[in-house]
Amino acid sequence: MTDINTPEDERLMAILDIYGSHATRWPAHERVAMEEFLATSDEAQKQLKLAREIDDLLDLEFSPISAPSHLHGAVIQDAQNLYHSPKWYMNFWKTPSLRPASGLFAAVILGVGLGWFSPNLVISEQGIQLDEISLSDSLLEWEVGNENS
Amino acid sequence: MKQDDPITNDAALMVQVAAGDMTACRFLSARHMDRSYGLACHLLGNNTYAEDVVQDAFLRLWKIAPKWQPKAQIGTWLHRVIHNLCIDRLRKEKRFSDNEVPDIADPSPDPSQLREQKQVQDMVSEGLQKLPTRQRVAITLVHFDECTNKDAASQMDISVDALESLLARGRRKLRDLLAPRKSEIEGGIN
Repeated sequence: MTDINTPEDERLMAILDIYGSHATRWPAHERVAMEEFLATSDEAQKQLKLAREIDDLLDLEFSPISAPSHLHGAVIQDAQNLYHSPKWYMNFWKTPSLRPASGLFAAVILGVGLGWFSPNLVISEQGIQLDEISLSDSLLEWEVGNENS
Repeated sequence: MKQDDPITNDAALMVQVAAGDMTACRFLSARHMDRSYGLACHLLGNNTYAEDVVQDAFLRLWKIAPKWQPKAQIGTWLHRVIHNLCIDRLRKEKRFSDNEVPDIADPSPDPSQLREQKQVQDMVSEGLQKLPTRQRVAITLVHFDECTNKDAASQMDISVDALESLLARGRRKLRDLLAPRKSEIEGGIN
């Protein structure tokens, strides 16, 4: 068993003081040297024991914690509010006092749209033909007038 | 091979989140919530504050989803945000208003053993809260969050040497604080 002689040995002792006894927490590039040092140094073994005492306490303190279920709910609700929030125009319908106005507004928009894009829905060719029939003196006269059409 | 890359997988999940896919949101919440909450609890020492911080961090995650760049893992990003939010709160509060200890889930069925363990845990928790903030943060990042020294130093915006100094001083101080109660602690652990 060797004692602490070199700056490298001091560094390895310091690693136990800094990172504790778990090899996974030691700097990766110093792990092999650390294992070899521990196998040969009594001082290092003593230091390892001291480090383990604190690590055991810290492991107990840092045992896994479960988040409360209402926190999961709140976080998902935030996502829903962000990505599935109702469109601005839906607010008109949701407010009772604005419902008649929004209904009227929707009807006006629908009427203008229909009138603009589909005038033939209201006044059709069939209607004009019926008018010609009603204005003719008789059905026979109308048939004679339209027999070539 | 690309499929196994966690950064790429996380980026794909964030695309789903940005599209309003609640399944992806639930998956991310289930995957990262406990660890995020634990980190916030240990850094702040108060579970109510920790809940606020975690909710805030997840809200930031949902908001950043449409602009997410596949440069980091979601877990790393979340932990950095939580760490920063906790530090902000610690700076604002200067000192915690109470010593509320987070509830720890423990599978052990023996009530007396549980009670003794809880007492030891309270002593350690109390000792940790007495450490200077930066020492406590350093110990939490390395011991609880299992950050490498480089990651922890980067999160704290300090050099690895400075981190090592904080860790060594923190562990030594904790040992000194707990030394007078060593017999109680040993009774509680065994």
